[in-house]
Amino acid sequence: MLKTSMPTRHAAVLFLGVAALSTPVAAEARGAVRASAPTSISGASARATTGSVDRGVVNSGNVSRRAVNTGNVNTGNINRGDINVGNDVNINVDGNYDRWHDWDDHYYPVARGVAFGTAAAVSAAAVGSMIYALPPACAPQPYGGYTYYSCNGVWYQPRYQGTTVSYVVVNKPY
Amino acid sequence: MRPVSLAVIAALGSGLVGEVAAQNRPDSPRAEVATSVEPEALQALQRMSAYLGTLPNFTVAIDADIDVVTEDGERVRLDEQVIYKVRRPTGMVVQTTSPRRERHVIYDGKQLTVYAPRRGYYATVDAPPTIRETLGAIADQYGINLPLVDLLRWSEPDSYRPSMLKAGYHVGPAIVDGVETDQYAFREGDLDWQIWIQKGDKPTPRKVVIVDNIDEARPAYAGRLTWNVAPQFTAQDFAFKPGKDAKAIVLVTYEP
Repeated sequence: MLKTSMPTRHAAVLFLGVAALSTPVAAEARGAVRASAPTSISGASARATTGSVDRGVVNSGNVSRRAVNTGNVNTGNINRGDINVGNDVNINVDGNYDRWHDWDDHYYPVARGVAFGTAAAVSAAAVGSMIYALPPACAPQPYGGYTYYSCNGVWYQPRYQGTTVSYVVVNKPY
Repeated sequence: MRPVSLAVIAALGSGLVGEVAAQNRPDSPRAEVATSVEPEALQALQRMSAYLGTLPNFTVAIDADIDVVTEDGERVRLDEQVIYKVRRPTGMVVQTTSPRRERHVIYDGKQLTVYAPRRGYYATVDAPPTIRETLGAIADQYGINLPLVDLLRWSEPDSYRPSMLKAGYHVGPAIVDGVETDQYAFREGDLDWQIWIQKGDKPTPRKVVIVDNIDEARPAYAGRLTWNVAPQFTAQDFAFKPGKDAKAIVLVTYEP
């Protein structure tokens, strides 16, 4: 059950770990979260028991997180623009709470650096595209029992994906 | 604890206890790990599950540590507090709180609401008539993984647990938050998990550790649990009241 020898594979993993610790890494990469702990046994087991499909969920979750970080926020106008130039460490995920990739209400730099702007600059507001924080100066517009936001002519519908709030670009609802 | 007692003692002797020992990297391919579950460990799990199933009402507060792993392999541990209020079979509130995030999941026997008080958004949908069915909808229909939802699922009569386990053993006695417990370690799927079960006639889980074996950094969840098995609830406890400026939004259906 617990072995005392250290196979080559293990040593290699350890070596990589040490290398990662001692090598300067671009701070932007450091801020992105690639994995988080399972917060329940049965939820994670359900994920694990269906084999490749479930690993697919995990992987696509990671890809999604990356897509979010490098797309709308980190490599958008904020990080590469004037506000944060690769010197912050942001943990944007607070646990594998849902099957959806997760997002925080507030972005706290975990280790050091600069407070993160909450507004995501949107260069392409195609219908169906999604962001996790509204641009500034968006007015809420109630319609049909739900709330929409109008931002410079772009309409967003807030919604829960799991327990994560996101905003999806929609056609003008009325 | 027969097959592993020496290894466990060695781990204890080297200063690695409990959770820390479990977080050591596996030094063998997963196919080589033990595939036996000690009857003693399984019985402890079943006894705890049966006890939890007898509780008509309970609250449990979970003080959780949750690891996240950054792209360059740094493991960062975050804190979160969770409160479950359960009134079987039709009342359940799960409140998850940290400075980063606050969410309430509220079930009143008729409707399910997801509420973010600080952001002022809520979504309410029709729900099945029991907690048990609603848990299924929460996970499968809406893709919400409630923290330590196992607390509710363990007591389900047709729990799949025993057949899922591929290893399990009694690690030994332990004190958790001043309470005498027995520590057990299990493996299943891509997880290693441990549970500390209170000794005596109220065998509640007092601590749970779950280690993910997919990522090489092996992020872990660790929750300490404080129980009230005789809470006094009122209808207000399970009634959703949105804040003054809270807005209704859509709850998206999960499609794998």
